[in-house]
Amino acid sequence: MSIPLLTCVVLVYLSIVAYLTVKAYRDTNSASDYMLAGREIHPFVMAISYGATFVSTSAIIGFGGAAAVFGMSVLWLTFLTILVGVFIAFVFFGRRTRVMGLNLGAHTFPEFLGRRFDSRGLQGLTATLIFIAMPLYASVVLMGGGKFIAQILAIDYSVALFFLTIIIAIYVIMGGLKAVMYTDAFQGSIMFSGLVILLAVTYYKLGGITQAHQRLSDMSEIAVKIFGAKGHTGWTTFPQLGSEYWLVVVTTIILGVGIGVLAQPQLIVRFMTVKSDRELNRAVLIGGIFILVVVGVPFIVGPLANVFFYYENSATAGKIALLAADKNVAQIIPMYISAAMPQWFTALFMITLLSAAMSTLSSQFHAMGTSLGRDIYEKALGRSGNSVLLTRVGILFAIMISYFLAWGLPHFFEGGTAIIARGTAIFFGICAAAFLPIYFGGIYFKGMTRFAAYAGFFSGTLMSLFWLFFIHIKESKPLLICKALFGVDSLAAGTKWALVDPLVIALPTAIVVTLIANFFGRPPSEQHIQKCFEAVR
Amino acid sequence: MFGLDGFGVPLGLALTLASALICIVYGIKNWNRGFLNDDEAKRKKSWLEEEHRIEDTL
Repeated sequence: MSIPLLTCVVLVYLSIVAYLTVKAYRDTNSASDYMLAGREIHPFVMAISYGATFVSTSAIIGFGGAAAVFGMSVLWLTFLTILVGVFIAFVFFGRRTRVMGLNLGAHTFPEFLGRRFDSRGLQGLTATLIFIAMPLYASVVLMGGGKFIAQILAIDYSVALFFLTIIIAIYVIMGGLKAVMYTDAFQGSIMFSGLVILLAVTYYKLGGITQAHQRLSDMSEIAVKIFGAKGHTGWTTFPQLGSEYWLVVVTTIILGVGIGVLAQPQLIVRFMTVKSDRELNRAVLIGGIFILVVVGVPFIVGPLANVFFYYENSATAGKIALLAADKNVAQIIPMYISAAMPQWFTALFMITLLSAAMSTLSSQFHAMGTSLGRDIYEKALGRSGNSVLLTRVGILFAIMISYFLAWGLPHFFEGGTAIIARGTAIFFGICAAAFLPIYFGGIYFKGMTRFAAYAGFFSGTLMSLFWLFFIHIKESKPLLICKALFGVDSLAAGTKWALVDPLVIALPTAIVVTLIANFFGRPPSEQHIQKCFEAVR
Repeated sequence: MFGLDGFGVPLGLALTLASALICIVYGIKNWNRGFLNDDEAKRKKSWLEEEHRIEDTL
């Protein structure tokens, strides 16, 4: 790639990020500005920020690569992300969260739950779980971004990781949520443009939409020959019902992420950043189109890369994408970009991926920082102080932990990379099981008791952890605890249970426990309920 | 449909496009609905005043 071209593009990109950071810094005068962007965010910024936070570099490269293996059945995740992650989230969760958040004066998601159930303990527990689980998720994104920069600029991974972390740290600490959301909107726009071009060029190269799909469909025999034993039936058909691939596609990719999106603290807080329901209504339109492109395109281009590598690229002729990339799923999309796309696009796509990493990371750092500074230190522990300063310190602390995980785990621990690689799935699964039943109950059921909230939280968390540490082999194996205690990689090794995502078990468990526990405990006072639900429709 | 085999994947694609369409139609239909009413504006003002009061105290 042309280094002068790349340098120019990166400099322009960083200058715009710097400008937006300074603007956000000047506009930030209070704790509500720093944590909630003053509740005055434009719907375009809110919708794009929401989507850009959800979609990271790992999602584009990792899920794009996974789609190249599993095929277009993963498009169902795009459907769920638009329907559940945008439409249901904004219309049925967002409106209530916004109004109730204002009624309760909540600044963060843990504070929202804590005040709804009138419990600082719950606020502290929620924040603690976020603060413990999110660094792993952040380190996935950091590692992905760092590796990508190191590869493109041909520099050392540690150097790339260090500078990526420093740049994000500066703008998140300086400008708070305003800086995060302004830069997210800019970065999201780049992602959108880059992916639209990627899709258009891919279809053009492969002979048009129907022709490209047909060529991929015609490769089904090759897919069955290579992956048939695991249930693969072709790249444009669903894996065999109940097979190993079917379980991975349906429980981990489609349900794990598609449902998990509803309970992400860094996304939920965005509902409280807009002025009124009108902004949320507008954001539904913008978010729907944005997610269609940024989630959908990698799931189409990934499988189509098989056609390109097999038929169009002389260097890899006769090889499917996975084999062309030396069986490295994470290399499929970058390889496809450098082999199939024009040079100017490689520079644009580099910025697209950098944007995806930075937009997700900045939101993660902000969410972890507010959890530590605001929710744990200031509220749960009852220490008073300058909220903005405490949150800034919290963010700095969170950034350092994530950085050392991304840098240190692969260095000092053999299975470190494998653990980090599962970070997204672990975080999504834990959040969905621990938070979704109490979040949904909190905004819809007036009579839900504090006891039920605690029961839902603990049952979801504990069942997730049990399944992660002892059953789901993709996590239990690298985590090594099951091996140390019982001498096996998974207590369900050799059965299909070992392939079932924790969310599929832990979420229903948490829902049932929450419902049963609601028969116990003292109902909330009428006055408190009135305050929570005032103007909630 | 569009060169895709079987039932599950074409259905997934159709549902993806349909869900995006639902978002677009909903957004257009409700583009100007739900702006702050007097009551909510008042609550927001009092929340902001409370925020500033706490910050001044600190």
